[in-house]
Amino acid sequence: MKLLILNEWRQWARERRLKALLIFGLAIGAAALWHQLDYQAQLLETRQDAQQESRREWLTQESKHPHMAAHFGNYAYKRPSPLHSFDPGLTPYTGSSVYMEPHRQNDFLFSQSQENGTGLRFGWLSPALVCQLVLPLLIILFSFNTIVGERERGTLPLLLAQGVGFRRILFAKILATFLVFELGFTVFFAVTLGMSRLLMAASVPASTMLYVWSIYTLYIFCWSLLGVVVSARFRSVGGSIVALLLLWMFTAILMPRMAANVAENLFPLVTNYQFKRQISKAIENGLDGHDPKSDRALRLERALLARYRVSKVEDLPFNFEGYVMQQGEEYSSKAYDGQFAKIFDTLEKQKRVQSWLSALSPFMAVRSLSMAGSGSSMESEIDFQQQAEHFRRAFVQDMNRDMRDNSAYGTFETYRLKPGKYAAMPDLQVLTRPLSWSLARALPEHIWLAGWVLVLLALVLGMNEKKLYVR
Amino acid sequence: MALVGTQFWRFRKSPINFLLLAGFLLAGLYGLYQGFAFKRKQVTTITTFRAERNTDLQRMAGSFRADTATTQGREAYHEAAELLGANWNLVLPAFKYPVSTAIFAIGQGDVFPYYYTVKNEGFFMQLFKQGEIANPLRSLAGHFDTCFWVIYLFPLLIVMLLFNALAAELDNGNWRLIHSQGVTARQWLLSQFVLVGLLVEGLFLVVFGGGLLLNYFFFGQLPAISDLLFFVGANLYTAFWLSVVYCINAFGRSTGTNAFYAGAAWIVACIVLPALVTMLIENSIKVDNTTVSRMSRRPQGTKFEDDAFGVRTIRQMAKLRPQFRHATVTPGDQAFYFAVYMAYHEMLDDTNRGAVQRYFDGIEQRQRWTDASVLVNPSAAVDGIFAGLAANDAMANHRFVWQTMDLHARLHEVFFPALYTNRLLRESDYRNLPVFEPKRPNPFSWELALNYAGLLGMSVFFFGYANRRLKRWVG
Repeated sequence: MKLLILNEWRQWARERRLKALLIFGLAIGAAALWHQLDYQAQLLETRQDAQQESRREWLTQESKHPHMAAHFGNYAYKRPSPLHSFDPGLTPYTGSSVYMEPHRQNDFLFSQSQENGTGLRFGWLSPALVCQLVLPLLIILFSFNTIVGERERGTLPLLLAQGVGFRRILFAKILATFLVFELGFTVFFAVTLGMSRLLMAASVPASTMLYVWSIYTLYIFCWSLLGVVVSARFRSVGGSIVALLLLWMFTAILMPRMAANVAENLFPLVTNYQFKRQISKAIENGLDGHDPKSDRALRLERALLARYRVSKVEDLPFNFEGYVMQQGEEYSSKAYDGQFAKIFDTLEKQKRVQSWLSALSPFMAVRSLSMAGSGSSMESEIDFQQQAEHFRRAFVQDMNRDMRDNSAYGTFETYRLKPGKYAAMPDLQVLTRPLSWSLARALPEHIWLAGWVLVLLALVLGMNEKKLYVR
Repeated sequence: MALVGTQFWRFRKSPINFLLLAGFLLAGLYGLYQGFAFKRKQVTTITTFRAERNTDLQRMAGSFRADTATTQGREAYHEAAELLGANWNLVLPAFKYPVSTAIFAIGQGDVFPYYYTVKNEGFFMQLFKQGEIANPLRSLAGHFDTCFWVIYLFPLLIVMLLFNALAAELDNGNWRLIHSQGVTARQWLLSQFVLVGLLVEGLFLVVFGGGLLLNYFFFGQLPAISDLLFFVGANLYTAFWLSVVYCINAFGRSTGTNAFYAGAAWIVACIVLPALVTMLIENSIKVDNTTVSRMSRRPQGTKFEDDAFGVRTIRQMAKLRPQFRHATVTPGDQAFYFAVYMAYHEMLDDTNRGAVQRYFDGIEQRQRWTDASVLVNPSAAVDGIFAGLAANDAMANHRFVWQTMDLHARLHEVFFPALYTNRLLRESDYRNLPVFEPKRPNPFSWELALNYAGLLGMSVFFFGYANRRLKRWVG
């Protein structure tokens, strides 16, 4: 086996075309690495500065009425994690910052896809893109003639005549291909993580590193198997390379697009117009359309007056305006939650369609798992938005509570927050979710990727030289 | 011509060829459907949005004839005539109605808003709160529209049908027989390429024609110059790919080699170069949104309660906007603080405009470079050009933003005279409210012509170079 592998490598070393391909692979990998490290490190610095600036503005705003302070608002900036240098995933397509103020949940804006040319749609160069798209191509170009080439050259019967089993040859070819690319990937991945750790001054948990490394290992093994299986199944070198390239194009280019478009056709996402309309309707007419705003306010007032046994709101032991403000905030939050739940549900359904269709494409499966491992998946993006929204609600509630408890009714123009109140409100802290949190949402992709490897292994095990010669 | 007939006869013999064509046609029709569905969604939203806003404005204008003896009538009148009430309720619609070519290229249409609501307050403060719900899952994968069909799948079809046009005959030993009939390699290749070119053109015409019909029957749009330019671009791009594969055939001697080079050409043109060029452009032209992302905050503070500051602000605005130089509002007036506040917003917009322009300029420059990279990056360049023709790129969005800002300024022309003279709004003011009229620049430009010429030049070069080689070609 060892000799067979060494022999394969020796043959590759003699081929100028393969050397050129290897250099190309290294060059594009280096370019992707340099680009992402530079971009993400710069992005982290810019966003950290912007977040700090937002905090400074909040702290140094003049003393004012709590509700006005809440309206001064805060900004939340999404900061990249070290693994985003490896796989930025969906981050270029989601908003990077949001302005947080009372009464409304603003949209996350300024996505990178708005700031780039249309070229971004062809793929954003990153180490993950190189590993997901380019690496299989290199594997194909190294392996398409591993068996069929031996047959065309007439060296396969010679090998068999020396008593080497056909399956042994197949596995030697698979391992020869796999080991080269696995080694290349491991070094590339380690360098990416090491450098991003240095540049971004943050560490990646060992379990996450191991997980991402494992799924790419499986992916490389899958393409090594595919290359050799197809090479063994075809009679001509031309047929083998055409089949492999078509397979690559279908699984890595056509399928992802088709899956995403079919998912959108099946479960269309609402437009912002519909979304906003539903929310204002819910706020004005009640969540179920049967509880108008005016009735709600009146009912609230009556209930409070009855509970505290007073005849007018001025006599309540707290500021009625602050109470109403918070009630309104909670009600609008409910309306937003209801509509956002629908959006997230639609996205979840779309993702499920894509998850099922990724059974036909190892590229889609590994892309999804890589994003989940790198914290750049849809769930991570939604999680950040939800954390920012929790923060918005907390600081608005804090301001409303101050108004309710510390100010008197009708003192909107005169009441001011006490010194130290701004600093008492903590800054936005975004929690990083553990790997298990992300992976719980990507079970089918694990099955498909493992399924591809198992099916291909079964195909290899089922092959023998007799079948090869019968055809 | 007779040879083309022979090639067609050979082509017909293989049912797989027809399956392939049928598959591609289906893909094209599916792509057209995606563009149509996307456009229809936008049109439906815009129509509903406009109707709703116009109904509201008409209702407000009608309030001047309301019976103010009733509570309802009085409330309606106050809502329309009083400055604060009107300011709150006056919301104008601005919309980017999809152009006819948008049915073929969704481009970046999914990430940019296609309608805005416009109120009196600061323009950028409103603008940078309005987005469109993004579908990152779809954006990551890309659209399966006609543009994708042309940019990615046409080359693939050409490669699949022609990569071994000559090498296959060499491999199976037919070439000597063909050559003995007096057919040269160039004639043989040309006849096959003409046939495939015609077939591809046929497929394209079906989808293109279908798109024009859908535009006419569903959106009432007649073919436009941008459609013609899209048609020309798609044909030039197809010719370019025919020339590339022709060249590979002229140089390659075996099916394996040709498959390798044709596959590599497709991958390099459609995947590697776009990613590399985008990376280079992104690194060369830096775009930072930190400043513009901070424009959503509402100005506030005790300065707005300071009369001296207020008088100064209104005077300053009168200098900047001479049309409001006759402002008579004074600290004693009810509208004074509101007028100061709005003047501050107006000046804030002036200050911010430069930063927004710089931010937009950076993005537009990136797009221009992508479009102009046709000689080194043909696929992404043509894709960018198509998105531009469909008004579905960043530049189109920025044009829309500036047009919306113009609407905002025209709204002030109606609202500010009342505000700065401390009077109620009148019914005539409502009649004078501006209406958004989207303007589109001529889609033809010399830049576009140059890019198309570049594409044509490359095709001529590849054909010419291959023909020189074919003259010396010996089977």
